[in-house]
Parts: sequence; C-alpha cells; structure tokens
Amino acid sequence: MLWLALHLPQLALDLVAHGGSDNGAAIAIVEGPPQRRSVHAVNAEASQAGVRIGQKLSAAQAICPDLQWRLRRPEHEHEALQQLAACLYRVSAEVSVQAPQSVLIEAAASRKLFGGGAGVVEAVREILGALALSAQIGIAPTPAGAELAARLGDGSHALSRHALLRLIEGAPLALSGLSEASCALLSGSGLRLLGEVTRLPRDALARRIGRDDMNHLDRLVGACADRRVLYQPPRCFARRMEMPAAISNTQSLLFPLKRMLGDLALFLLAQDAGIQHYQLQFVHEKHAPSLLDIGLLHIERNAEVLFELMQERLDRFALPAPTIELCLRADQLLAYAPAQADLLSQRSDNRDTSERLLERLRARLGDEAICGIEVHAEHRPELASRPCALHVQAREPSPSYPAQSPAHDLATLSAARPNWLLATPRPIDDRQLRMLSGPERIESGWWDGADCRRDYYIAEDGHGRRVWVFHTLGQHTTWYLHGVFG
Amino acid sequence: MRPVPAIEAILSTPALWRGRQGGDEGRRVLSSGWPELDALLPASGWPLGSLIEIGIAAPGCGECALFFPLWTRPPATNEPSSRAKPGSKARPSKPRRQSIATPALTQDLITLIDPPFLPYAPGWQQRDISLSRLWWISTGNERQRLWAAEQSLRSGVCAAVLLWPQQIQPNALRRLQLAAESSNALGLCFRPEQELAQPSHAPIRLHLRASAASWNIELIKCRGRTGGAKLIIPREPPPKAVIATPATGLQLQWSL
Repeated sequence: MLWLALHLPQLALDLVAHGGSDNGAAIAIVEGPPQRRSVHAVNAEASQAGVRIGQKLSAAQAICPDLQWRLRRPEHEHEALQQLAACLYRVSAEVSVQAPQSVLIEAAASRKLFGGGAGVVEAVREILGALALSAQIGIAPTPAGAELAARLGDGSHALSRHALLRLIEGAPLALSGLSEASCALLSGSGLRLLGEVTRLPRDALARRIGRDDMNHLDRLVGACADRRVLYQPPRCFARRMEMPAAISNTQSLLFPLKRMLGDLALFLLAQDAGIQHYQLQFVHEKHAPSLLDIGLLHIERNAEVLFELMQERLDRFALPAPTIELCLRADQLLAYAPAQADLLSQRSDNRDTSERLLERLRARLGDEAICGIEVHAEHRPELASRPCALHVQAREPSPSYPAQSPAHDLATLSAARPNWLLATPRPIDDRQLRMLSGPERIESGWWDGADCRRDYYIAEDGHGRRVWVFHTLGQHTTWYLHGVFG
Repeated sequence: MRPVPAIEAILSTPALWRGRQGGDEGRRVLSSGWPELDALLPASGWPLGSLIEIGIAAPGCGECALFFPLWTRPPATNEPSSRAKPGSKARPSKPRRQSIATPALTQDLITLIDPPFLPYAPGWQQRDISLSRLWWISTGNERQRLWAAEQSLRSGVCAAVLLWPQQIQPNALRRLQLAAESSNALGLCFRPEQELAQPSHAPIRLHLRASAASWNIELIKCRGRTGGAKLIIPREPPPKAVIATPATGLQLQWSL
C-alpha cells in the first residue's frame, strides 16, 4: 500500500479566486461569530502586509486597511473536496475525503496504469490544475503518514517504512496531527519534534496524552489498523460559484460558466456518464433566483459542445438583475455511449454529425425553428402535409418506404402534386393562366367544418412557372393559386 | 542570347492561370442528371463543395426541379415500376436514373432555409426524395438565415443547402462559398434575376428562365470555362390528371 495525501490549506482562498481575478488585492478568509471574527486563511498579498492566520479581523484590518475579507463557507469547501474526490476517482478506486482539508488516495494499485508513481502524481496534479486548486502532495506507506507528509510540505515522499520513520522523526509537533491539548502539553515539556515524542517511554506517554493520540502515533507508523471511509461517487452534479462582483451582462458570465462546464465534463468523464439536461441558477441580490433549463437532444459530455450550446441559449436569456452567484445542477446522469467511428469509413472524425448540427441550430434559432415534413393521410391538400419533429437517429430511410403505408398510397395513386404549397391559397387572375391539365376534383371534409369542394388544374402562369390552381365548385370565375411545381 | 523556354515550362508554372482550366481539380463532381447541362459544365457535373447562384424571375420557376435528379434515391432502393406515376412513361430519353448520385450522398440532408412557400410532403415524395432528408429551417431574419446556411454548409452532413435571400452582400456570398468549400455540400442560392448584374464570388452563376416546354439556362459564370453559354433543357410534359377507380382499375385521363 502506498498512500497519496493531498492537503489543501488554501482551499477557501482558491474557491474565492475561482470567480474572477483578484489582481493583487489582499484577501483574507475569516470565520467565527460576527463579534469575534478571526482570520482563517490569507493570500500572499495579505500575508506580505502582515496579516496572519488566527488574528482577529479587527487587528488584521488595522494592519492592512485594504484587506478584502470573505466569510468562510465550510459547505462550499465540502463541495469542493467532494468534487476533487470525484475527479481523483479516475486515478484510484480508493479515495477518502478527510475533512476539512485533505483527500487521500491509494496510489500503489494505480502505478502500473499510469506508468509508475511519477505518472500517478502527474495525473493528480493535472486534476488539481484543471480544478484550479493548490495542494501539497505527500506520499507514505500509511494513510496517517501520507497526511503528515502532505502537511509538512509539497513533495514530501516517504516511499518505504524507513523513510517514513525518518520523516516522522523530523516532523514539527505543530503539524503532527495530535490534539491541541497534547501538543500544548508536549511542547510545554520542551519537546519540539515528533521524533522526540516517539522516543519517550510508551506507558508514561500514554498516561499523559490519552488513548486517541496514542492510536494516532501508532497509525502514523502503521503499527495499528487505520480504516478510512472510502468515497462513493454521487449520482448528481451540483456546483456553485460566487462572483467577485455583481455581473449584469451574460457575456461576462461566460468565463465562469466555461470553467463550471469544464468541471462538469471532468466529473462526467470520471463517472463514465453523460447528461441530457441541466439547470443554471442565477442568484441575484434583490430578486428571486432565475433559472435557465438547458435540455440537449443527445447525451453529451464534451465540455466544448456543452459550452457552445449553453452560449447560444444564454444569448437569448435576459438576466432580470445583476448576478452574484451561479449554480449549475445536473441531476440525472445517464449512460454515455461515445460515437463509434468506422474503421473503413472515409469520413473524417472532425465532421459534425447531423445531431450536432441540429443541436446548434436549435440552440440559436429555437426548438420550433427546425422541423421535417411528413405526409398525412388526408385528401385536402393543405392537410396532406404537415411539419413533424426531426428524428435524427433514423438515418436510414424507414423500412416501410415505399410499402403499404396508406399515406404513401394516397400520394402515388392520386395525380401529380406540387412540391411547394402556399400557406393560404391566393386569388389569381385566370387570364394569366394557360391550363395544361386537369381537372382533378377534391371533395372532402364536410364533417369537420373545413369543407372543400374544388377542381384542381395544373397551369402555366405568366413567369413560365407550373402552378397548381383551383376553383371552388360553382364559382368558376374565381381562381386560386395553391401550389407551385418547381 | 537567352534561351527561349519551352512552352510547356511556361504553362506548368503554377502562377499562370488558364481560363478554361478548372480550379477545382480533386473535387468530387456530381452529374447534374441532365446530359445537356453536364456537357456544358467543365467537369461534366456540379463540383461538390461550391456555391451555385441561380437567378430566377420568381420563386418556384423550376429552380428546385433542376436539382431533383441529384437527390432522388439510388435505383437499387427504388420500388419496381408498377407504381402508377404520371408522366414517367413519357420520358424514354431521360437518363436521370443512370446518372444520379452515389448512394452515400443521397443519405445526406437537404436543408431548406426559409423557403418562399411551404414544402409540400406529397410533392417531394412523388419526386422520389426521402422526406427524412428534408430539414425545414425557419429563421427570423437575414442574419440568422445566413448563419444557419453557413452552419449547415460547414457541418458536412448536408448534401445541399437551399437559400432564397432577397438581398445579400458580396462578403456574405464569399463566406458561404468558403463554408461550402470546407465540406462537400452544394450551396444553392436563389436570387432575383436582376441581382445577377452584381458581381459575386460564387464559382457558378446561372440564369434560369422557364417556359412551357423548356428551361432556358444561361451560364453567366463558371469556374473552368468562359461564361455566356446558353442551353435549353426540355421539360417533362405536363402531368395528366389521373383518377383511379378502385372497382375496375380503369384509368381515365382528361387533358385540356
């Protein structure tokens, strides 16, 4: 067993920085009740100005007047850790979230897959980079040892038991993971390093620091079992991002949204799943949150495709008020089957599929703007053709064609039909017309009020077009243009 | 004295463009289905991946019928000739069944972008065009129309993209041409005939006039040959109104 621990001391800061650029401002994350707020984390600028972790907020503001402070949101940190765990699930099957700031993974079993331990670390760093989180990575044969290594600093590796003992030897007491009371007691006794503690007589030490801390020391070296609760991937994705300032136009939301969709795509990849529907929630300061539902025709997990479609939808979406927070939810994960390429096909892969094209057109023009047409078994010409939803999967012509479907029989048995029809028949002067053939009587529909009794002719009009004209029975002088051949 | 270079050496210079030489070598060509028209086109067919601009007097004067042979289904999947199709027996000389498109292409889409009339399903079906290939796109304005046309052309899943713009800027035509070149789609741009006076980037420009018995086509511009050629394609005779009486199977025909 070889455990890899990720320690994220800057987690709260990273989450705030996600939303936008903090361009050199000193930022501190504070926690505690309003009367006694204390600094939980500081960025480099604030640290340079003298703000320290554990300081009172009032003291920090006195030291650094430009300090921007945010309240710590433990639930957001929890979400971020869960998300990190979801992504790390791709690297290892054994992932454990150690609240509040660490994640553990078992790395030995994954070494072969990633081409050695360095490959595993590289994969982990890549995930961290994609999530824009900064973490210290430590490796050790025991979980508690790995956590200690990670706390000591980035890149502390103890690949063998001996190396682990050496690492424990030199670890400062403050980072040891022992309870605060024990740390105070031991440092009060003049001990500074963990190695000095482990050299003390065991029974005397046990009497002073209690059973939990003794167990912790045993777990560090692997002398006692260390069971961790393993991460189970959730079946939904929810992500929230705070904006650094209220944003009123949708264009400026594109950047954070792109990042969120990137997270979603990573998550989906780790789950080997896709989504067909997701929801964006825009939280406003003085307005009820507005929702944007995005439905897709097909199960998708490609970040670029998701972003492109979202962009088109967002263009047509009007924000009722400036947005201070964005939430993305995808509740239903669906099995994803990537499109399979044909080995012998000459089509190159970068070509779009008709599904993608339809998706794009719908996103921009609206769902109703694109349709197909179908034949309807009806004698009245205006009802014999109707728009229908497109079924893009049916790439092959339907097998029934041109077999016994009644609609088809109707179309072939009756006389020639034009390929264009006017939405409403237009009166036409019959002096322009030269009759070519006809008549064809169509008499139908007395039962539903749209009675039609017409004689249809094919004629040539003044432009040389072949047109389909009719007159109603009994009114031979008024001619109507109804269709065009051509 | 400087040696005189051989004429072949001069002709093989890439910088030299020869008027009758097609610029589209290597492009797939699709027979138009009309032998008279094929004879006129430099590669004996429509070069795929190009924008074709057709000037028409009024929408519906045969601009789609000219391209129907491209889109009919291949003969292999055709139903036997038992179907009573008016007028089909009266066309012995028409070679459209022999020279139609490859099966792969007939599976591709035909997008109608804001057509001037409603596409009428029985009519398209009678012309052997599978309705599942037709996409009817209704857009709000000229900008969306051009966007939809460009997207369809670029996607590579469309066999043809049909567009009826009222006014179109030359740079928009250029965009459409580039989009068509990036795939194997035919962009068909039907414009009012008076617009043909304006220069355009489309590699093929036609002027189509319909009369009772024929289509008069003037090839205004065509990459690979000099323009100005005129051509008359006979139209199929007007279909008879056929009324089938199921009891006797007797077919009565009237003709004015």
